Amino acid sequence: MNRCEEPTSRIDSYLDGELRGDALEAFNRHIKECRSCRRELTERRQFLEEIRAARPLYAPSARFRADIAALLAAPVAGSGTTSEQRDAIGFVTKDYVSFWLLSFRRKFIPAFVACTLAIAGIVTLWRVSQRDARANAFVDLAVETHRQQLAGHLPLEIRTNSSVEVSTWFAGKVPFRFRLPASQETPGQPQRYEVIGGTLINLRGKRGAYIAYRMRAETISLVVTSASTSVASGGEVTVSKGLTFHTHRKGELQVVTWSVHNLTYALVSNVNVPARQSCAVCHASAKERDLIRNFRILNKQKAGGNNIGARVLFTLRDEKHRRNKL
Amino acid sequence: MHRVGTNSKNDQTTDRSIRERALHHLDGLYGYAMTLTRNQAEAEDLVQETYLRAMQAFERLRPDSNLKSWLFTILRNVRLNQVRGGMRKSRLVEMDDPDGGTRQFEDKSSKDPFFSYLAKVKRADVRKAIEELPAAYREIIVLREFEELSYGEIAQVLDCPPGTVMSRLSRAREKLKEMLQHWSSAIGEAANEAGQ
Repeated sequence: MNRCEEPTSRIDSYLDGELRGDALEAFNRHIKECRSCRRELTERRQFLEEIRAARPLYAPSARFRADIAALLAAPVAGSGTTSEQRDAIGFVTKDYVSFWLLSFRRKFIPAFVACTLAIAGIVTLWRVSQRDARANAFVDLAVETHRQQLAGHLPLEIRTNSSVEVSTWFAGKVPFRFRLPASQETPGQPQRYEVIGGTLINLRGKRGAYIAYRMRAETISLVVTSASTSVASGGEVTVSKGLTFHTHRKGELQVVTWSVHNLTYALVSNVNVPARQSCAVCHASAKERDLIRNFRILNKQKAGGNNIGARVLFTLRDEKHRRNKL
Repeated sequence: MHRVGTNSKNDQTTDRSIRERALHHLDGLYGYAMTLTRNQAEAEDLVQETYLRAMQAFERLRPDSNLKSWLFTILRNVRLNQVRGGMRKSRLVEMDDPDGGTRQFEDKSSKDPFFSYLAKVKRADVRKAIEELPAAYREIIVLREFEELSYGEIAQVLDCPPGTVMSRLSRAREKLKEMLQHWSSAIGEAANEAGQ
């Protein structure tokens, strides 16, 4: 072994404990004989120790550590893994549908395409009408639930200020996997709102989740259901960070609905501001300001309308352009 | 392989033991999540989601399985799904966030004030250099140098061949060394100029 050709990578592998057997013996023999490699080994070891001395870059807060400890101490309802979980854990699902489509396409493409288009058109029209009907019903149910809570007719089955505990409590009680964000507050700033608890509710014969928040003296209601029960639709449409929000006015109440990850949410409050500004009522911290600024209003329409066409009234790019002109 | 069928009457004890072991990896998972997201709230969500998914599969985890690399693999897969879904994009991290917790700089190793100061400066430089590395280099440095995962374990987490791990790690280290040397020489020149 020529000592001058000993690669740094082998020295690194040695220091990382990755050399074994003959390779390790050969390296040890070489190091005994080669002064330059011994010097290189010493320098390399010192360099890696300096890097390791810099850890940790980050450490979780005591609050988050307590949340995770509570989460791990909680029982888990249901032992089956969903397809999403299997994907995350590293499982591969075979696509049998692709196989059948491949065998079909040689002989039946023209007729198949024509029939599919016709059926798809009919089904789309029917589904749009059904979707909007379900969306309006969901908004009405959310408003009714909120009013029951305000009137004291909807007792909370779990009362806690921990979003993790609320999420854990719902696990297995509702037919969907559901999790509230672990953190909403911004360090150094007063918390604008806090969770106060949750309970199960009946939505079109299916179980849904109701979570109550308190902001100052006001109660804000969050209703969650699976997207198979209802999807967000209608109202004034705004888009931010890939999420589409639908804002509805129901008397003195404002309802914001959105669908993501196969779940549909409705947030009911007495906030009386334009849709684009409503999120800023709770999310006004420095960290969240960029999210609010990215809001785009796609169109204004009456609740229950079907016009989802995009008429961009405001974009961040427009705002920058306006600033440049000024 | 991590998953096996289980019918043991000791399942509950095993499950509790795995949960306790899983909690020991919180610091590492959080550090890795911060490396990937560079945002405290997103990192907390990512770690919470990782534990929630892991809990669903604990009962099928063999007691002698490599829990640490398995948790890191789940975390990375969850993050990839989030990024692919386009729902979360990395925002600029607020590096000067004074909140307790996100960064630790205290020096407890040396009692000599001068060496303590030098060590502190050095560690701050290393941290800054790591944070300025390209994402793929930063990730592999954290997994190897901070979490001390083996090449094989890193290959599992990153879903790539061990050879790729070796070459990427080597390039990341060289880049880090280059940055630190550049800073050291710049500081030296500045000190000389100040002395003159």
